[in-house]
Amino acid sequence: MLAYAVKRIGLGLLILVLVMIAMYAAVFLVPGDPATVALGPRATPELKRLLIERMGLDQPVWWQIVEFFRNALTGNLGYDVWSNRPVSTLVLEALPNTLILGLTALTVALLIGVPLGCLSVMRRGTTADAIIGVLSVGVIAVPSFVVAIYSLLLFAVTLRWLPAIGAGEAGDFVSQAKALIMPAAAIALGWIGYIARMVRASMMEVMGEPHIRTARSFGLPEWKIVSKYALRIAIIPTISLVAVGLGSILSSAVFVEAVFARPGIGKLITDAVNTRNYPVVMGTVLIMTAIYVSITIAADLLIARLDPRVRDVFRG
Amino acid sequence: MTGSLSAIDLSVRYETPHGAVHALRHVDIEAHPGEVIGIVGESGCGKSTLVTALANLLPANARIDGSISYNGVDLAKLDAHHQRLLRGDEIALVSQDPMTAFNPVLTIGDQLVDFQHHRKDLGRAQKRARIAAMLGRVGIADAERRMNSYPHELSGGMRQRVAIAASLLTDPGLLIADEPTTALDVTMEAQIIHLLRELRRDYNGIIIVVSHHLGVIAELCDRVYVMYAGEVVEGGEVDAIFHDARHPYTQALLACDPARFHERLDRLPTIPGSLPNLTQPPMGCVYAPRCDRAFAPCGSVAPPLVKLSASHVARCHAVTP
Repeated sequence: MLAYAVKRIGLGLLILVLVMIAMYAAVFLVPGDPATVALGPRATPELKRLLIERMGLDQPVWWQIVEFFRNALTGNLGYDVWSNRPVSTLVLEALPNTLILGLTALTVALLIGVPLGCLSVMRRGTTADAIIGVLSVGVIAVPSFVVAIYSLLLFAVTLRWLPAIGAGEAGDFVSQAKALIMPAAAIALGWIGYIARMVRASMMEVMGEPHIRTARSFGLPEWKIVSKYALRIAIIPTISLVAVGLGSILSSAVFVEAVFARPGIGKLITDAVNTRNYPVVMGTVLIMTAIYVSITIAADLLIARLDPRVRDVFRG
Repeated sequence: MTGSLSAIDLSVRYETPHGAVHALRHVDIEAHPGEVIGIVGESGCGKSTLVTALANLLPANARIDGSISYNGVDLAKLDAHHQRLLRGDEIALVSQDPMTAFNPVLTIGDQLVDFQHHRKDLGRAQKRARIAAMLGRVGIADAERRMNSYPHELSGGMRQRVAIAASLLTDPGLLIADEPTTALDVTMEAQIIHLLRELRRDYNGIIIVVSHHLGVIAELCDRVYVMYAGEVVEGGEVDAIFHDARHPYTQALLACDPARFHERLDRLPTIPGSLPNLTQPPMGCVYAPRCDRAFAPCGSVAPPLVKLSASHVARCHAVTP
């Protein structure tokens, strides 16, 4: 198990390095002079040169990458070109908002999606199963920014129940929670459908296995067979799906944060890209990739923990 | 609690998109406490359907006619809830393949604790103590450690012992072993048969053993039912069936058992032909197309059940008492 974990973490670090190399290559390959784009056509050559030096773009690309990682190891992710604030501070300020948004959405999706999938299996072939199936496909098909805009119109503009923008008053839990409802729902809705369908599909397969017949032959109640005997196995593909899907949850956070003008990583990175603020883009991408890679590793370790057969494969 | 079991005129058909499959037709069997009943026949003859019906585990597309009476209760007419209450309490099933019979992600001990869920009077610790004792009884050394093992950490023979221990833990009045040795190698098979023989000495319920292996049936059972194409074609005491078989199918089946050959043969004997299509069962005798003694009525008239002695019956036109 330890060797497995070390191997996975090593692979994760390699992915981080490769992503950053790709990022720098992209900056290098994108046509146009970033300083001209950022400063506008009327900027003086001195000003442009100054900006290029500050972003480190006058150095060879490989040197930029080496410098970036050397600094990153000491916790220094560079400085915002415009405000001169450390990128690490900017990311740390924005990150909690996005994480709260993403995790709330995911938790809600799991808490609703998994029981719906189980219910579908217990009532398979009935109207309830059919309704859950149709609704699942329906919500998967609706993009999260569409949900965001329509819920904004309904609950914020027409009904005025929920705040339209922002993340709520600092320190006021109720106001923060109210500001979280719509963005989280916008992201969670599609995932409820995904998870319900995934749980249903993998559980239907598990329910046909002989050990389920054994559990039935001992007269165990159906809810216990579904929730303990089948779910422990059926949840495994769902965990992989959710871990991979976290990337798309974080990217839909970019849209949703834009719609609700909610401070967060999504807003930070869109603003930085628009102003060619490369140090901020690089630092944010590094942190987001690191989070994504750690979640994937955590999911793999969780699967190994849930399935003793996987555990044994990696023990030897 | 122990009681007698009888199936009277029991038929089971599976509704499929290609029409109904008549898997079991007009089966009569009976069993009394303390008896070991064998059910034998080739693959697809309805053995598993019969015991699955007895254990109330038929799939949703199965339709039952006739009655299954256990201890005076008609199991075929019970609702799903009451059927479930009998399973794992009065009726226990040892399943066919020990390799896949247990949940792969839960420990043996965890599953065997759950299987005793009808025993509301016992706490978790008491249930675990019963498991340890029962695992010892079926010949598993180091029972405490084995309870914390996952199924894939045990060998096939050991898993079959655990499966038998699991079914005995529920103190069933009716224990059904569906092909208990089919998935095992010969050494393991001999050990499991030995174990079942030992267990039956201090067990006073009914044991039903299903097998296509004549040797297993001869070793274990008091009485045998021979099945062919969804019907019981012959039934009687083990001695009567093995030494005085009257139905042509039973005779042919015995003639094909390699264990009974005295000399080495170049070719193993087989019964020519194959099983009839059970979506359209024949009008007459089910075995007639393969029978070397078939005559005029066999193709069109269903043969009666001929009573040969107090317990020996055969369903054949060519047999006379």
